[in-house]
Amino acid sequence: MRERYAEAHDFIVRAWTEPETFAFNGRFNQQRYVNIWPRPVQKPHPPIWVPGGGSVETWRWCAEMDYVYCYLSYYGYKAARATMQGFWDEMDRLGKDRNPYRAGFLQFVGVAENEAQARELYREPAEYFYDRCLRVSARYANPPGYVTEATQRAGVESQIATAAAGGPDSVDNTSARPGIQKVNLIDKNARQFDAIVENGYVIIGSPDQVAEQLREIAHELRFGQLLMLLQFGNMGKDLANYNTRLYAEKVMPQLADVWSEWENHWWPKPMSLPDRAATKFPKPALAAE
Amino acid sequence: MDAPAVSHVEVSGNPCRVWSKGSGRRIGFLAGFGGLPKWIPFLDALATENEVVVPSIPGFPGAVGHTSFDSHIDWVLAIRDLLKQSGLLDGAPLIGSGPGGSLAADMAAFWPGDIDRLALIAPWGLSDGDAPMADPWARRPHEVGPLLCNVPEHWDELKASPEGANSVEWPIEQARALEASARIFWPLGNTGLAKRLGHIACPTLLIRGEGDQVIPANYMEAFRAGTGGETTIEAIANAGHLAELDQPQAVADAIRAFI
Repeated sequence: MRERYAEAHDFIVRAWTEPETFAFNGRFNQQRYVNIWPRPVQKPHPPIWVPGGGSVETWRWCAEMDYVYCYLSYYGYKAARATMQGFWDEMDRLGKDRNPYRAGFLQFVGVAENEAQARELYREPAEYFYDRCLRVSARYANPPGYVTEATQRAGVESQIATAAAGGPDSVDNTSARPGIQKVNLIDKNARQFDAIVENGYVIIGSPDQVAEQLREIAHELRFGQLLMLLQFGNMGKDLANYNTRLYAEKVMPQLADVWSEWENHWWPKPMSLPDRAATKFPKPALAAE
Repeated sequence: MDAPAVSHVEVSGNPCRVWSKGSGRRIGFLAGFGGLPKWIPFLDALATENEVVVPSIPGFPGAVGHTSFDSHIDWVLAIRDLLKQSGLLDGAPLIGSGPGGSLAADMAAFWPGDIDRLALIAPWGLSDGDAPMADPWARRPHEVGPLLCNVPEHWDELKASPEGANSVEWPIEQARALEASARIFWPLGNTGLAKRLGHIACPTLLIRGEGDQVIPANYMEAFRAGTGGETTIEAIANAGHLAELDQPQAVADAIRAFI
């Protein structure tokens, strides 16, 4: 499956960068006339961020290609530790710099005036998400061929090491499809809000509390690109707006200095204002208003 | 059980294990779902009167190379190559189970002159829109044995890592077998075989365990109706989809009588 992915990637990047119409004769994709419209503005092309779930090949590929590796997990920073550690170990092995903007991380956040209010506001949306939305039968979780053999080996070896250590985290793997077992060491079964917060799936609290926790995990996991989930579960528009506005006004400024010593090479660069086409249309109102 | 003799042939640059045991008329066997991580009693039962040759399908236990085939044509040619190098295309009867049975049928459909006769245990390859075959891939581990066998322990025993086996590689080999079969047959087991059945000219024996929960009973009738050669159906009592695991002697007897 990775061969398909790699070819699709090459196809897309070529489409973004090739100025003339071209033919693409790949193993999996064949097209005679490729000529995308509209064309991207950024040169050589928009920055590329790659979502990963822990496959070792993805880290290596992101390092080689200088793409951002984004660990998109619904299980927060505790579950991410092993994967992000593996990612940065691989970066060191490959002799890449430790620019934290090479890594992205997804985090659910619920901000309020104080922790008690945050618990009250975000309890139901969080439980709705983890108890109702995130229900995938284990039958469909590990399709044959989805996880490469190299990644299976890493997972199985890690499990054996854990089992040999005999700790409370040892996992009994009787599956013919070991998959990525490392992250299964964290409890992924929390459906009640207290456990959801305790396990770090969702970060909630006052602006100061949230800022402090985000600062801590940004350093612990070493990520520079933070992907926020400020709307989740059955959270309505009003609460999502409130959460987003409070985050933007009271939390984000507190984090402005994080990683300021590094440059973010992977942020989109919109067209400068003078270069944009003039229009007579009124400036659109904010959708949130 | 004495161990079979082991050799290897090369298909598309990758090694494929070939087992052989017994003497007498040569017959070939292509494995069922999950492949053959171990030699099984059914093959010993066949080997009492025949030279049984068991080449491993690429990606199934004993062989790699499944990732280089992009189309069904690629697979058909690979299996033909595998059988040719295993000495199974000179008028030998060909036996196959599930996916192996489907590929054996393809051999007879594409090259009718090369296959003496087919004995197929619940072959895959057909698909009835209203009643597709069961999905053997989307299962939790403890559900697989009961799906495939009347006696789930028969599956568990076959898949259990033997003493001293590489405990890292064994589960990966079993996972690889799932991937290889999915590459050919996912999602519905429909390889278009229905359109080719008419090209099969040789006699065919279709065997199905009465308790088969993967291939519905009416698939055997649809298969028979489609073939060009004389085809008979035999049901095996107290057997599931992997009838050769559940009732090795009964299945071997039925095949021997047919050969």
